[in-house]
Amino acid sequence: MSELAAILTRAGLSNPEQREHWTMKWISTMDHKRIGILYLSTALVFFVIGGIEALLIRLQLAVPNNRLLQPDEYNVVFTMHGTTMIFLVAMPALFGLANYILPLQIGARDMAFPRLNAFSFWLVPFGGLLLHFSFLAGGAPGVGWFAYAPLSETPYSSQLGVDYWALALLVLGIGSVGTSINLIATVLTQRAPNMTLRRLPLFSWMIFVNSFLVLMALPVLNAALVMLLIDRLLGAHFFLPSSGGSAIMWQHIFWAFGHPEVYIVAIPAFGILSEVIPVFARKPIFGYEFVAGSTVAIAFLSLLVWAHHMFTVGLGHTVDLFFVASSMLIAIPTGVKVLAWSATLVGGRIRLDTPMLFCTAALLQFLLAGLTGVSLASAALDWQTKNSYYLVAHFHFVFVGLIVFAILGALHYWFPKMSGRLLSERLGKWTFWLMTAGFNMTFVIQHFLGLAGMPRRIFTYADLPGWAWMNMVSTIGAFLMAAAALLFVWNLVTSLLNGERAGDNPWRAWTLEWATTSPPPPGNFRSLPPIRSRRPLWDDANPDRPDPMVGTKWRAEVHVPEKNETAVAAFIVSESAFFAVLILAYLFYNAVPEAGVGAHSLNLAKTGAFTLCLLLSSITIWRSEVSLDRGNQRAMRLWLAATLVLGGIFLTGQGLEYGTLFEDGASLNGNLFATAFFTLTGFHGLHVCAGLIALAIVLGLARSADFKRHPPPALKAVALYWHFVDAVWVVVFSTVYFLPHLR
Amino acid sequence: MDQDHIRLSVAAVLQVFDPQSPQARAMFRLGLESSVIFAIIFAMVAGAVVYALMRYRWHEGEPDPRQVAGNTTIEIVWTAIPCAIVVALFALTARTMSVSDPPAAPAPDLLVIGHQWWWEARYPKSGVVAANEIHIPVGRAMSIEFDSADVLHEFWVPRLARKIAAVPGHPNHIWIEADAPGTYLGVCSEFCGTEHAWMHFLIIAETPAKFAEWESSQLLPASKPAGLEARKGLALFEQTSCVSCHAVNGTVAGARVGPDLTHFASRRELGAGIVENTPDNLRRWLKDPQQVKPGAKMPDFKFSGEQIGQLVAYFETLK
Repeated sequence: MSELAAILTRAGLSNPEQREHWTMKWISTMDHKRIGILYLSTALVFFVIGGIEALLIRLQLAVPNNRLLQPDEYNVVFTMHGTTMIFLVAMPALFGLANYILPLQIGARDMAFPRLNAFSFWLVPFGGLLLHFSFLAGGAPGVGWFAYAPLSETPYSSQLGVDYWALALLVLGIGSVGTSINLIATVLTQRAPNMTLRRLPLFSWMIFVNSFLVLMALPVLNAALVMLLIDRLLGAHFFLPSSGGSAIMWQHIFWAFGHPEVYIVAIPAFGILSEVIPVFARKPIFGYEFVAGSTVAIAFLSLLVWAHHMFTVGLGHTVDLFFVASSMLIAIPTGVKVLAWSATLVGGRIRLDTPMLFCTAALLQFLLAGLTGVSLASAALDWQTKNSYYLVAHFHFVFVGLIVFAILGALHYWFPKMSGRLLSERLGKWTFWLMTAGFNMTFVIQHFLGLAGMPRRIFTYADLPGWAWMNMVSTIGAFLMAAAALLFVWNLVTSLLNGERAGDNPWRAWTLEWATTSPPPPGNFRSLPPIRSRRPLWDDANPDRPDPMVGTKWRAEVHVPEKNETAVAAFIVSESAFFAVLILAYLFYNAVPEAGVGAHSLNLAKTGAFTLCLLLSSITIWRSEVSLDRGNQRAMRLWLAATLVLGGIFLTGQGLEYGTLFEDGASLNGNLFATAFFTLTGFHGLHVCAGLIALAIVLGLARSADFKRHPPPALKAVALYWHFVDAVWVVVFSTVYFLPHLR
Repeated sequence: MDQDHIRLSVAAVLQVFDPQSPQARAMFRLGLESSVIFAIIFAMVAGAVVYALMRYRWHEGEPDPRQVAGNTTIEIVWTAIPCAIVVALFALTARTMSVSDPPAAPAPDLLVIGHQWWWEARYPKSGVVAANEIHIPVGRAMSIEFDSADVLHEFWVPRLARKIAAVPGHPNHIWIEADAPGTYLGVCSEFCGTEHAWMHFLIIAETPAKFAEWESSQLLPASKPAGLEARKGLALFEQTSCVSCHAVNGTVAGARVGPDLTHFASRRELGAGIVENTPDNLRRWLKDPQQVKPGAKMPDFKFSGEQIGQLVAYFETLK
């Protein structure tokens, strides 16, 4: 331990003179830079685990009819590989980079909510442990990373692995939403003066846009996981066709998350390329507005393309064609980006240092991934290539060819900032060439394996013509990649100890993270250069030819929103996505009335009365806010108490409704109406409870002297949430209670 | 597997490049057309990047270049060009879809049901029930309806037809057809649990005359075995729990959980493609199916060597 402490001290990561033990300092940290490094280190640990799983997969497939792994062992290995690499490597690595770099790039002292930041981070190791605990709890999941129902349902996967998988993903999903709320609030409320949104560096811009995508996509997964867990643990049957559920519904919900997820990990990679390529070409990005705008287009379109994962499920040609069109459209903004990066190179003075090598390889590999992606978007080609190794090759070209290469580029680029030392260029170049050779050897050939008819996820294969040698080539390539990864870790360790001192700005880059020391001090900046364009440090270094000013005025008058309200608004976006899924699921499962309890069993008049109470509570809380603004704190407290009482009455009403339904024999594991009804109204009820607790806390705090002197913005934030809970109920009430009466 | 078709050519290896039906040919043609488009795009963009990397290298002491921040005209042009390409690809895709996947027939010629981990094929018009080996007449498009007995499966014969999922509670349809007699390998391409890897099937395309002959032979019930061993085998088969999963037409066995065994000995493969159907392999299978195909739904019945001999003798009579 003491040796490790010494190493950290030498590397400048810990200070022995401070009384607190260095481990405590890291565990209890709320500094965005340390949290960023924690994220990245966690990602590295899981990258090693996921990498070993990848090697096991390739070893098993190296020769035909191999019996190295039992079939179920293989199924666990590829499930864990996919889940780990996406949720425990790609997401944490990108959140880590965002955490470290984004506040620096926008000239902020820290994230908007340091405690939330630490909490969101610690959910990652917790989720990872929960997932891996399944190995000890009688069997890890072996259902694939998208856990298609009904295979993932209890009759076909009776062990606890799937439950741990779903719980772990829920935990990780909540952490991702937390981080994204934080990133959005940071960009909106913590920017340095004059750092307008139009002057945002592209990496920060893309992280900002991406965070909205996380808010809209992850809750959809959470809803799917909750429904799966209700099926598995409470005996319901959302996704069990044998009891009336729908296997296809799982796919719709999962991919409504799953496809945006691809972009959630790709967009930060786009941001990295947009940051690194200009610096090493010594030119600004070609067409900032187009690159930034195309990101918004990609994020928006990515929400509308999910069913291209379902071209073989039999949705009909009309639906298929809609998704062919929407999926192909994504090629346009993506193409704009690829061309912009390429054009940035033209006329530059290109330095091929390691970060640039990784980013140009990422560019070329992503070009190929994009083109094979278009072929998969064409339903008629997808009918041959889907679920084959062609698809495996395609998405590894995205996940590794683009994303891992971009992350490696980013780590080589920003490591000097994070550690104060340069990585070894010699080892870096070796890493790059080994990685590039290994990666292309592993995955180029897999396109052809797919065309040879090899389906994905098979634990072994017959000795069909061509299959054996192609698989062997792929396996050898995988080991080259592993060697490259080891070399990279070696480079990290040795450079941390003995690397050359980096100085503030070793790459002569132009964004604000390079305007402070390496590593930056607590609070990040001693002083900031003037910000009037997108490249403040270029302007600083080239007073004779500065960038044209962005915007009409140098000193921008920017309205900065209140950060708590911003965060609650962002949270509401994510909650809306969650409830949208539950409401759509309710409509789907009740399209055809079935026997037993149904919407007709509900008491419209009684619940209508309780609904009125909930609506009134929106008015009382608004009065409470008004009273606070007028300085009448006593009235504020009274209105707040009234809100609590009205909310309580509503919950009681819900309880009575449940009681009547139970007497009629309804239960969560009864018919589909009951399953969908209790899930939807139950989750709404939980949100009402959470709102009431928050209101009660505010009411309690309001009695303190501190509150009386300086009322904090908490009431406004909680009120916003409370209005949202009421609004959701209006939609639920109209859908569940009112709609059947219109038929 | 596909022994009679092995030629050491690209087509022999890359099945998708060797279409043997109008439906598969349409997809193959679309593949070629789009590959040409993709190859041109790749060559142009990658060529430009590589050229730029070589042409615009920094040399020691050179100052930063002219700072060009973009060009709106160029941006609009290279947004418009991909738009045109996308429209063209969409049109080509829509055309191919209608050729490769015409509307379903009112009554299917074949009902294919996915099971963990084998395929059941029923011919509703004649009443034939087969497993893993699906015979079709050459030159006639057969309409198939798909169902699943348990989880999702996916039916993929690269040389003949589009992929289609077998979804429980959601019937799907495709057309399948073969130009020439031959055996075409098919696989399950949607992960379906433990033995997903061994869910092969064969499409056996025959001349219409041979197909009719096959169909009528399949309709015959199993004949009473003549030999003593085989008769003992039949008795054993009927007395043990074999009959709670399997069916043999003409005996008490009528269960539909596992494959129909009425014409077991006429099949080429055992365990959905894992081994050839020979008496030796059958002996291994009956000794312990879990050794041959770990995870298969058939348990180890711990038959004695003598019992296995009797059962093999009986099954070999089920031509």
